[in-house]
Amino acid sequence: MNEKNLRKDGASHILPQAAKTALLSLVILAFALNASAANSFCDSLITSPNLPPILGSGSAGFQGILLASIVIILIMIGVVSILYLFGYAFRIDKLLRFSKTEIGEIAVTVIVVLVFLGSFYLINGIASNNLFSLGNINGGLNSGIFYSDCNNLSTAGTNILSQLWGLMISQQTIAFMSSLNFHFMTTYWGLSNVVPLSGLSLISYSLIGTMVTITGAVFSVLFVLAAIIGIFYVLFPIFLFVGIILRSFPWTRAAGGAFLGLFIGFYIMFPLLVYMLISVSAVQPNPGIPISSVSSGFDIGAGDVNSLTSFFSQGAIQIMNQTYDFITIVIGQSFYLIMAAVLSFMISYDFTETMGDFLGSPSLSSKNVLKKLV
Amino acid sequence: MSDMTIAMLGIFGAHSQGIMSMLSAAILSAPVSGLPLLPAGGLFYLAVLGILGVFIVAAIVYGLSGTINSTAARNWARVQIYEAMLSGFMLILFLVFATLFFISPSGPFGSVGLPPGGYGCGTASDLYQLATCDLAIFNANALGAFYSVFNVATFLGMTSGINVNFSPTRAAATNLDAGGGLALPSIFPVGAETMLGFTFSAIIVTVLLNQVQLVILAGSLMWIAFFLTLGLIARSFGFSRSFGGTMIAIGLGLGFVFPLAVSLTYGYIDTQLVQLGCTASGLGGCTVSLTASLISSFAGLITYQGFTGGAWVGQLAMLGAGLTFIPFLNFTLVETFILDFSKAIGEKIDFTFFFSI
Repeated sequence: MNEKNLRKDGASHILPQAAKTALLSLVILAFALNASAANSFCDSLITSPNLPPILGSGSAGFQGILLASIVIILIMIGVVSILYLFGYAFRIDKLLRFSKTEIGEIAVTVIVVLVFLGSFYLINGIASNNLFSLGNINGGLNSGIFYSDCNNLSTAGTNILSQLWGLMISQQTIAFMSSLNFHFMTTYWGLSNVVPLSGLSLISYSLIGTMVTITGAVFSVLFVLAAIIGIFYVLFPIFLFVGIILRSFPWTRAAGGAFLGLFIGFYIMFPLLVYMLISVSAVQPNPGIPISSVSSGFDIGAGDVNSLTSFFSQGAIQIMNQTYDFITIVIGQSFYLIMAAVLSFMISYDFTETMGDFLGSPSLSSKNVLKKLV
Repeated sequence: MSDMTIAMLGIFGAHSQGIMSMLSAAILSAPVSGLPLLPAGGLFYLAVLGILGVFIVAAIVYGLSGTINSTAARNWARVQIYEAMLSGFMLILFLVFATLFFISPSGPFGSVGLPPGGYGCGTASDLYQLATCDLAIFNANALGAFYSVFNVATFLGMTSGINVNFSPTRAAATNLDAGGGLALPSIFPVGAETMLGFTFSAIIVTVLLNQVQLVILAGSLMWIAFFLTLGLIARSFGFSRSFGGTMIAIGLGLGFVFPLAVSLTYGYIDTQLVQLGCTASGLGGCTVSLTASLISSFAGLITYQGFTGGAWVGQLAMLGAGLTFIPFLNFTLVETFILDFSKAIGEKIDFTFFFSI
């Protein structure tokens, strides 16, 4: 195992160091992409005019929090300088060493802040074709990647929801047909309540019922994932500033490093990875069925079974078509979307651990509860 | 799920809304007693007494060390005096920073677009009231969603069924009785009923877990006062110094970081719910809009016009994120802070024993 892949506690990262560097370098270019088709749900989450000003253009909140962080850093520089002067004047070696260490850590924090502000400036400048505007540092990162991720997930969920209609109609029709009963009674003997098609209820409740339940669950997960991406976009920049402030004090430095690591992992890496895994058209989990069909719409037979007469005339063929389409499209592609998000989450968390190690946060590299849950 | 269970859950949901209303009203109207370490709390005196006691004992030992000419005693006394002064400095620091906990959050939260007054928390005058109000409103909206889904499922389930019978031999007036029939219990698709059933089962389970957050949040002042005082006193003694640091970390984590995280995360969720159509008229503001949207969408199934989404999709998605992911995120933030801060000033605490039972 490459030593660069080992953490201090001996465990290994998921990705080698070079891969992580390559991924991080793609961030700057990839985040300059613009949004795709309109989506009212994602509009309210990511591009709403009532979005917290920290991420809007000309945002006073962003500047306010940034200014507060800079003021705190300057105050700490002043305090540490005074301590250094005291240590120098009274020849207290412990104070001198402490001051030098603190100055070094504050320098690291300032470098981290400059790197992020520079990234915001560069990315927003590329996206707006105006590299020479100081306003580029406003508003955090361009919303293109987040909007694209939210759009892909929510559109796939919407398409799946509309396909539930076909499955429900099939289920109702089969349930209706399975209730067909006959009776044949003479004066002395007969047959009562013969239900020749009762076996169809197995298809109705077991097969199609399971497909309806799974489709409903997949729909829910996709929309919740889209909501989570919106939460990352709005709330996680706050962690950047909280991390900067906490990192300025020696006792809370490790906690500040953890917050910065969370910001880097889930505000920068996670949406990028989701975008790359979902939107790259070269990826085709099912040959002949491009993944873009999940976002652009697909049909698992709902159009055919909208007509009950066509269902009765084609019967079992429709059921088999629906089952096939359900497995190849709903299961195949929607589960791919969900697994892409889960895989992105795991890689982002691994990257968060790396940044936590770099910024001095032991909690993110130890066997903590989050690691067990993930 | 049996009909009786469904009915009981519905009654519970209705009463829970009422309970939530009373709880949040009580919390918002309760006067803030001030800083937990002020004389009104009483624990402040305990912390000061503890630190002074250690300082006095160490000073006596330092004085006696000269008499008995003991270098070890002098060194011990020096360390104890240093730690007592450090504990006193930390106490003063906490008292100064504690003012941050009790300033009105309107200004700072307004600067990032999370106004406490936008959805019924306008009377919150400090961080604790704001966090409690945010979480209470969210839980009320979630219970309202349960109530909405339950009502929609019940209402739409009361649709008529179809029963078709045919008996041709009766018309011929023979002794032979032959015929048949077809029956459908309800024209409302059974798959939709199943989905709604899973939805309100999931909501009620996650809301019950979310109420645990509210209980922890309600005791934030107690956590910060008790653990901070215990930690400052314990930190003054040599044998319990690391333990004291850990207690300080837990107190700050549960008493400050957790309410801050809740006010940010659930404040955003509540704001977004208003954007997605939930009214801001107080607790349970989602109930009306969610019910109307669900009925409009699911009624299309009865008339077989199709099944489309609506405002309920966004509202349930945000509620789902708030019931599943946000508690996980808040727990992660608090745990990260406690782990790192406890390692910095005391003994690193480990929560993994909870999950190894």
